[in-house]
Amino acid sequence: MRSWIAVALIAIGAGAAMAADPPPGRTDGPEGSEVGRGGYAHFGTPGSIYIESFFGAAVDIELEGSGDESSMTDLVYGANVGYMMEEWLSVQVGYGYIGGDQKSSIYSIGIRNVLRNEPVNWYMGLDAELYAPDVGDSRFGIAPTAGAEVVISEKLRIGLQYQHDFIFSDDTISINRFTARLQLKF
Amino acid sequence: MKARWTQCAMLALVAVSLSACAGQRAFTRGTYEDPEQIAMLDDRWNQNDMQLVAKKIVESLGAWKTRDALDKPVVILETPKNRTTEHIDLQALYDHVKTALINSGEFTFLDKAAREEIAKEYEYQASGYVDPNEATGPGKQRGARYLLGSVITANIQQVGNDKLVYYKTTFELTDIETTEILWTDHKEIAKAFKKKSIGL
Repeated sequence: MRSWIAVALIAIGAGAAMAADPPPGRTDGPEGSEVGRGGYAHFGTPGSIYIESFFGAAVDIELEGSGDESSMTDLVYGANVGYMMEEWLSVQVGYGYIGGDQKSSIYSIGIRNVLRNEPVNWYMGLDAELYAPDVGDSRFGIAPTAGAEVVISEKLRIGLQYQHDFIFSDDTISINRFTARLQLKF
Repeated sequence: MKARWTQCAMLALVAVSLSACAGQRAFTRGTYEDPEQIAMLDDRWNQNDMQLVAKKIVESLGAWKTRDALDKPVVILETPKNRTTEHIDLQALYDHVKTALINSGEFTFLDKAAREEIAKEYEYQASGYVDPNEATGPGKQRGARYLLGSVITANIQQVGNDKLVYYKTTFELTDIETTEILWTDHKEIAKAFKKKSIGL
């Protein structure tokens, strides 16, 4: 079920990417045709909402306390929904699922700080997380994020990101997530 | 535990390094843009406002001339009046309107601004330095029949992060002989803005 949700989100994003951007406003049209048209429109407009889907690899490393430093690599996928408070700052909530042997859900809420340098932007973020494995107790974690993205159009960005999850428990779990993301603005 | 704190420290270092990469910023590596494409980087009068006013006035004045079936009117420009608190180059607006009307072939404009220079040129050409057969002198200038003037006013409403800027530009064509205002029209422009942070 979760896989289908992720696939549907990606399909929606791809469909929107193929849709043409609205033409910019002009002053040489019929009288009054300029009404409602603005300038300087671009992706990071404050007040806009975005949705993004992501997928990639989750490398799980259990370190201290377990007596066993093991590593597993599984597929991770999910989606985030965010609100642009400023051109450079957004808040977002998200859900991710790690498949394979790890089988865990990750619910997150956090912030993103975008260093704008279009068409390539850098960003950093910090999320608070609820790590909920299919078997076992849920745990709290934090996850700093760093990534880069390419501005494809007014409504679409694609990017790569690295996220390190610090899951706090007796057997501390660290997860490295390397993901590709597709972000769509509304 | 030590390894985890080391990782945290490394991430913090990367974050600080990325921020430091920003350095001094300047406007550079520009591109040519279509001047008639709407671009509103700030809340002041801009080239698009000027184009919109000029388009409306030129169309309206042309329609008036056609309706009254006038011959090619001879027009002189009045000094424009800016009643806003903003610096607006109304000469650029005049030039926009004048260029369109002259190029339409329907209006004749006299050059009021060049009168002083032309008077000096008459004096020079009459001084004997210029071939008398080619010298041009006073007495042949055309007389204007109409005076084209304009006034621009503004009203600004601002509450919290919202701002609404309103401009009204009125043009009038006055018969110099009778002082009748034969034609007048205006263009209203309202622009809404939201205050937001700029830069990092």
